Amino acid sequence: MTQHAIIGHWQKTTQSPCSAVYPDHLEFRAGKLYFGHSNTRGAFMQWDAGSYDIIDAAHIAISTANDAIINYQFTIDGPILNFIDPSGCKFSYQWSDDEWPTPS
Amino acid sequence: MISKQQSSFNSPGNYPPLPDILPFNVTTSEDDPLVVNPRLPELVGEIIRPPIRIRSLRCGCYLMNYTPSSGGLISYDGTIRVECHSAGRTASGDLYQRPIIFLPPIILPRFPSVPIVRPKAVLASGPKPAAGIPILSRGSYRYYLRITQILEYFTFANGFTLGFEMHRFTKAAGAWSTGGTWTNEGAYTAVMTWQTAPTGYPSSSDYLEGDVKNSSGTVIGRLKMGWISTHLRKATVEIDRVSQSEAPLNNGAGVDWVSIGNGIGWQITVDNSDSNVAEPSGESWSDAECHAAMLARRDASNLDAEWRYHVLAVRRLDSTSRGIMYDADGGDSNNIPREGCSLSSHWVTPNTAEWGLVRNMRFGLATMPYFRTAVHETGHAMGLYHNTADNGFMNTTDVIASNSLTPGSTQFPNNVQWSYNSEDAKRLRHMPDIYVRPGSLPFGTSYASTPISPTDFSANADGFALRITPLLEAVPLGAPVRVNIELVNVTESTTLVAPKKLSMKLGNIRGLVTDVGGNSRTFRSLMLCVDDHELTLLKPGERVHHAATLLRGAEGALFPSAGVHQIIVEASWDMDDGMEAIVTGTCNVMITAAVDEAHSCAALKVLSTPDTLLTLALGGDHLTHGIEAIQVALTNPVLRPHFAYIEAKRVAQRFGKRKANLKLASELIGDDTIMSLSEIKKAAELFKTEGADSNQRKAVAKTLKGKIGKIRSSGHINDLIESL
Repeated sequence: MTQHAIIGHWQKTTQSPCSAVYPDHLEFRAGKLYFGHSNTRGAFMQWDAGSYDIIDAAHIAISTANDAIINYQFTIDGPILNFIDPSGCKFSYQWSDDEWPTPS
Repeated sequence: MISKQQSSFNSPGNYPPLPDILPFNVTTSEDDPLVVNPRLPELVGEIIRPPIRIRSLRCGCYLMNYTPSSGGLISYDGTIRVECHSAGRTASGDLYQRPIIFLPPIILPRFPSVPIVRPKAVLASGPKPAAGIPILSRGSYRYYLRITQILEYFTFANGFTLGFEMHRFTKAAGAWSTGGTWTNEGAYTAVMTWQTAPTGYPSSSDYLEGDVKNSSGTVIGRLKMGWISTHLRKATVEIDRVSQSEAPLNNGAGVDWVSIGNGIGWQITVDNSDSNVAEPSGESWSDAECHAAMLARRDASNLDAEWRYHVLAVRRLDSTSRGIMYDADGGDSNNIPREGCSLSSHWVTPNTAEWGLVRNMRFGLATMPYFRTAVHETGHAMGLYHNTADNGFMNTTDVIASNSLTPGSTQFPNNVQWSYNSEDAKRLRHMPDIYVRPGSLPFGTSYASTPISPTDFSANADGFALRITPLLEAVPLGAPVRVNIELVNVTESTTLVAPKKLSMKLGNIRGLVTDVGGNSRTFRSLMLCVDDHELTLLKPGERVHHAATLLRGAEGALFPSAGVHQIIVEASWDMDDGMEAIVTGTCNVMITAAVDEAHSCAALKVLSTPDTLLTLALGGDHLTHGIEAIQVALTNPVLRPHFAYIEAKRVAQRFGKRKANLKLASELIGDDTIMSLSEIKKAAELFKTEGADSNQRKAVAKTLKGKIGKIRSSGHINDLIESL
């Protein structure tokens, strides 16, 4: 898995309770930095901003809200980015380019 | 005494005459000392005027006591924090219940079984004002005062009206790490009048008392507040380290813990303590080892007597490179959150351009970023999260380093901003105590449900009108409501600063829908764009336009029933000096009832399927529930025109291995398809870029032209359609 595959904007599509601490919107940038955004102002996000590093084809290290760097399992299936966190919570994001549709 | 200047202004011949000086401290209303009877001279004859006294509320921390009038041994102590700034005052407060103690029975030695005085419950004494900012027990925490009205500048009167909400905190059972809940008990007012302070206060003239009234005007208690400190809060930062690590005491250029604390109104005391902490298992420390060292080595541990944050400097950390606030979740072995953090002195910065002046340097020797990391991790211990809005303390080091590569930026670490972002500074000044003090609410508690006093940094944007126009004034139940939003400069000759774009995805548009029953539901974008919000100059009459398609919000369907609905839209943007400009507009839309059972069933399907909104906003083939709901709507003749474009947009875009189906999309966009201006533009773009054949392009262009003719549009969209 190359870093290139993950770069861009991603929109969370999973709404499970265990995934609530992960941002609604994620941006991975080329310089190994990421930025998380929540639809709810002031909501806590485990991934709010920091760095990431793709360890291998199935694992990514992401710095978290308290600056701990945690390893996550991940896969990219076309426009879908799937994660499994250390507690076993599974959640997904959908690719979302800059030309977003009319927001609702 | 009337001054010479005032006297001459009131003498004959001077025009216009200024009003007579109102007598100070003479009131006609017990409820409002600001009201002065203008007929007073007639009523009482010649008045010997005392000197005018202008009063303002002194900035800083006030010792507060609130005693309900309901009786019993209930009294609350705490602080009110009054922050002074260019827009007046922002204030907040916290209340802790005063302990009740039991006096022991009095027993005569000769009659040990017969107490002559039974045990008696009494209120313990309150905090001593001479001791400065009080630190009260976390277990006694009861209320946050969200102050909504206070004396902003000055008054000639002897008092002012204080308005506030009382938010009661109920701690969950068990340790502090389990959190708690807030309940707003209502809005209250108190006419606070200056009085001479009781003995012990550092300033006799900065003391006020007033009766607290509820919204019915009933007195429910008495509030007292006396100034005790120029600071708002106080804390200690203890620094322990292994012998090889540097103590993070300052940035090497004049910024230290005390000056940073002063910047946010905190009185910080630094305890540069142990320099010989032993390494338990080599140079690199686990979170658990950091936590254990904090418990073993800190100089004081009573968090009910002191806000003490522990900083541990070690050579390396297992779980991160530079620093960590380990005292959260699994790292918090004693279930007492946010007591300490640690940082690494022997991590070496990468030898890459973004690390600028400290590239390839051992971190403990890179004094500026090393000290900044200690402040950053302590910020987490104070309950703050990352904030990338600027290069302030709560941004991450790697993001700031990366920002140094932006054209025009200075090299890292000279691009570090040695202050908190204004939002974080406000949190540190005005969040409830239990969010910021160590050992209380756990890291990860959302700001979203936290009461916090409003600032005066939001202001209505004069000269603008926000015009909200529904595309259709009547919309069938179950259909999305499309609205056009225009921000217009309505001045005759003034050019105004305005956002370059209005968009929910930019976060500068949000709103509220209220139904006939008074139920309100909010909406904002599902997605937020991370781009900077650009401003532009808007000449008189010029406008910024946006179209929104409204279906669901945070509380569910926005239009779940038939009847008139009021839509309130708020546009906001940041101005200079941290001010936020706000302008609102409203419109009404009629939701018509279901015409038959089929319409009713289709509407129910749409309204009860949350993924419908995601499908509308995101498209794609994977949200099967959302697609299914839209398919149901398309089979219904009433709802089909309202959903046809949404489906056309989805199928007209590639998804995974599926190719764009422009033939189906063109069939869906018919003369009766309801489309906003933005949707017409988007459709034109899709057919231009997704490789439609000429017949499809022509058919769609003809349909879109027909629609655009009915709507005032920009030349850009007309040109786009022509190009099809």
